[in-house]
Amino acid sequence: MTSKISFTKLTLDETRKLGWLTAAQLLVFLMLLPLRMLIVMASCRNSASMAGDPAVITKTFCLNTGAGHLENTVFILIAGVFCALIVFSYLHSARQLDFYHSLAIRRNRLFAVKYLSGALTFVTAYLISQLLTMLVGAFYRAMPLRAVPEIALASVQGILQFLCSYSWTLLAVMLTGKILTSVFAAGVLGFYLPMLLLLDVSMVQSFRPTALSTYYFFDETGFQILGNSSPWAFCITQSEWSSAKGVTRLLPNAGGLCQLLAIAVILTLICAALCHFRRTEAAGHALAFSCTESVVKLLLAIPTTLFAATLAYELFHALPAELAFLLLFGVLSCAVMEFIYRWDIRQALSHKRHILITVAVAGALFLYFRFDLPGYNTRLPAREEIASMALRDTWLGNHVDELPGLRGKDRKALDMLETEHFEPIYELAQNGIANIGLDHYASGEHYYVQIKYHTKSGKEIYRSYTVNREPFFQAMDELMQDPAFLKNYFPIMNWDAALLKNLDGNVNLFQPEILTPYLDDAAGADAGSTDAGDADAGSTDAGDANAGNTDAAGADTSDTDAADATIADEYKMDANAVIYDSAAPYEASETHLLYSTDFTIPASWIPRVVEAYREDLAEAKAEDLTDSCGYLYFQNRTPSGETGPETGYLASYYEANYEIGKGFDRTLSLLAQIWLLQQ
Amino acid sequence: MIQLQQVTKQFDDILALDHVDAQISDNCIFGLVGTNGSGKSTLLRIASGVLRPDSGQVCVDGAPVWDNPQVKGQICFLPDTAWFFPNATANVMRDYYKIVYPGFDGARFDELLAKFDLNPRRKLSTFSKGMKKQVAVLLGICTNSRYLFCDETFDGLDPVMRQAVKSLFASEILARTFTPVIASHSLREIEDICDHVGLLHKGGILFAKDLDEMKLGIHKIQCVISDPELEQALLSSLEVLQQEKRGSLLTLVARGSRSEIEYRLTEAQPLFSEILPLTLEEIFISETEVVGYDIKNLIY
Repeated sequence: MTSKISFTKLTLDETRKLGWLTAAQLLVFLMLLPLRMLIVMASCRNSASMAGDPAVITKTFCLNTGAGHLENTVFILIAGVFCALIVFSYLHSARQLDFYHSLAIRRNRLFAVKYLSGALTFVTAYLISQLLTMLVGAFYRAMPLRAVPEIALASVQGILQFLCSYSWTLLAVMLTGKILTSVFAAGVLGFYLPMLLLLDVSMVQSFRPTALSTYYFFDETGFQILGNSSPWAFCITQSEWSSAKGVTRLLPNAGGLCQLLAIAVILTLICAALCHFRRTEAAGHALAFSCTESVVKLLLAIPTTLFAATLAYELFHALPAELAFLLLFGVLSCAVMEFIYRWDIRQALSHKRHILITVAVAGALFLYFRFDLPGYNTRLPAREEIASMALRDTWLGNHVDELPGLRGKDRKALDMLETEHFEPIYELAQNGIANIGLDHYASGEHYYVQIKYHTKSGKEIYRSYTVNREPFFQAMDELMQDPAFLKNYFPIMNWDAALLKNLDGNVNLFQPEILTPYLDDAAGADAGSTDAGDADAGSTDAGDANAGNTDAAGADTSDTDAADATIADEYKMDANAVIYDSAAPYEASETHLLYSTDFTIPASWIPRVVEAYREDLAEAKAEDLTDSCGYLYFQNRTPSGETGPETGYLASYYEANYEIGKGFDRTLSLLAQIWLLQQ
Repeated sequence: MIQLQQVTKQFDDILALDHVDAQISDNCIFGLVGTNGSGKSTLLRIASGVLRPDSGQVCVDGAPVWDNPQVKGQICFLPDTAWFFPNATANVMRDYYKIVYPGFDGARFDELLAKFDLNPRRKLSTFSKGMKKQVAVLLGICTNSRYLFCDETFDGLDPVMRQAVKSLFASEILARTFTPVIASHSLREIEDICDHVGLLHKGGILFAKDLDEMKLGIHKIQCVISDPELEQALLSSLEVLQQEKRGSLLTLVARGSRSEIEYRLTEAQPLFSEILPLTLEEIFISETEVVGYDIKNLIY
């Protein structure tokens, strides 16, 4: 009977032997944290704007020390990668395995010793650096007591991020038998899913022209997928789900920390299991588990081959060339994988069965998409199967983007625009399907539209088509007859008094001469105070709306005068914002107007302008809008997008642009008055 | 006692060990000989718990070795190329061995280092191959483990050191329960130290026997017999393993006791006769020929 090996003693000894790794990490984190903090704090003290504001200095300190700091996160993740590769490199050395595996210690226990000692190297270096950083903060009086738990929690998050990265890399180490293939495997684990998404995007772009959006890869959905594609990506996007508390408002929430912990624990358990089943003789082999060789090979070779064939399609549009690429890259990708496995060029073409499977599977998928065998592009549900449809064009339909949470989300936008009177849309879809495969789409003759089919069975099908001008305008005009459609399509129809109060408004006319016919009337309205009052009579409502008084009927003359005074005041205040040629005074000439294309709508006029625009829009033809002579643009003054219910509110970050058609008499008349007032 | 039961190990398509059965008794020096690639190292790795057998098992006193710290604590494995920590000195290794082998005798190690004239504070990476071997052996001996598996341990040691190590093994056996198992491709290297010998060839163990027993039961005879009939009678009366005739000189390797062979030889009325001692190499060649293996070209 022998005494047991002391776990603690062994762990501490292993950690001591990894002292150089601790020192290396300490060096990096000292530069990254306390040293950088010294520089940041010194520059804060020297900055005239920040020196006197302790809150700003504290926030700067916390932002650089706490959670949500991308550079810190990246370095923590890199530390995890290096620690895993270095500490567990013994698994790739037959000599070291002879030594370690002959010791009287269970493999799982040895794994725990190594794992812990590797983690301790980081924790030691990181915590020392964080403590020194806090000392720097204290020295510069940038660290109030309330920041301490915040930094502590951020440190816990950093350690958990390290463990996630460490265990994730360890998974690559466990699955391989050589350091080189470990690095390669870590890369594959980190980037395989993003690469598959990229392949998906390229294939959809190439073979599915009617797909609603191939750019989901780059929008929120794409980022969500990417953010979950590996623990590394998950850690980097972590600040997205912070609790919005603390000095930095990036304080990690408990749920997020639990998620990190869960990832680290699960990965570690998987690694421990793999370590137990891993054969000692795997050291020196490319992969530790020979049964994974063919699977890994095919999982990498098939997408590579498919991507090459798709690329050939984009380059040549000729089937023989595409098939040649497919065959060539099928063979090449398998040969490269085999070379990585055997490290012997003579064996690169062995396992011909794998080459055959790669070419066959990639070929089948390629032909399936290339010839649209499932009929994706031409799919048109029967009328009787459809419950509702939605149409959105990329010109007028963009107004939906103004609503908070809808920007760039085509599907959500279409969901909002559904109508049960879908006949015009259905006919437009038929036209779009007929146009698939056209060699050339003429600008002005063809329009890109997005369509949604919502079937009675509950299926939601999203497509995009290029349709002809005539049927497009015909369909739009028919749809715009429907007030419900109009309200959904143009959110301006829903803006309420509360929102109007918060708007900044501007006008931009690319055909300023459009105002000319309205100027004489407007000048007449502006000539005398009585006339001005008359001209402004219609603005009473607007003035009231601005004042928050919705009782238009009860407006009196003093109200009107007050509104005029406000207009005048705002004009003076905003004079610099008005772009016009002051050297050419108004003489009701078109020449002058050419210089005066961009001007501000005073706040008190906005409700009137919006109302006039709504009336014009209700009577407008779609073609007038697409061939507009200018536009109104509004921006919400609300500081953040946290206000009110979604519908009817402008996203704070987004400008709402509304096209002014040539027949928009009410709007243009008001704009002419505003312009004159500002001269 | 170590027992190997139907141990099989395959590396990819190479069968390293093929249903090996063997038994190693305590307190003897067991020599494991065989050609390069015969599976000696694999056998030792399996016996020390480094490798897991594909089938069969290795037991110490009935308990399996694989991932069993209780059993592995009784074994110390010295691979053919010893591994030391980067930048380690003999002292560093001593301290580590103290942790991983709780019975490690540090004082004795220091003493032996001094006897072998090895600097405990010099980096092991600067040591010669033979010096590293010495440190490895000393570490192994000082673990005080019951079994010491040495893979090609004497390879690289000079004759003086080889003798010193052999003496150490002998004194250890006298002092405590100690069973070194020495794997080597050279029969000569272990002939004078091993009590028992096992021969591995192509993944199979040909036999494992007591060396003295083997030497007492097999002899080499050189004689000249003028009468062909008497010569034929001698050949048929002995259990001849090997025979060769050059001119009138007949050389035989025969099984049997020395007295019995002498008696048969006298009956043949030889003009000249001599019974010679057999080297281990000759015994193995003869024995393996009997079981159908021609290893003349394999050993050495």
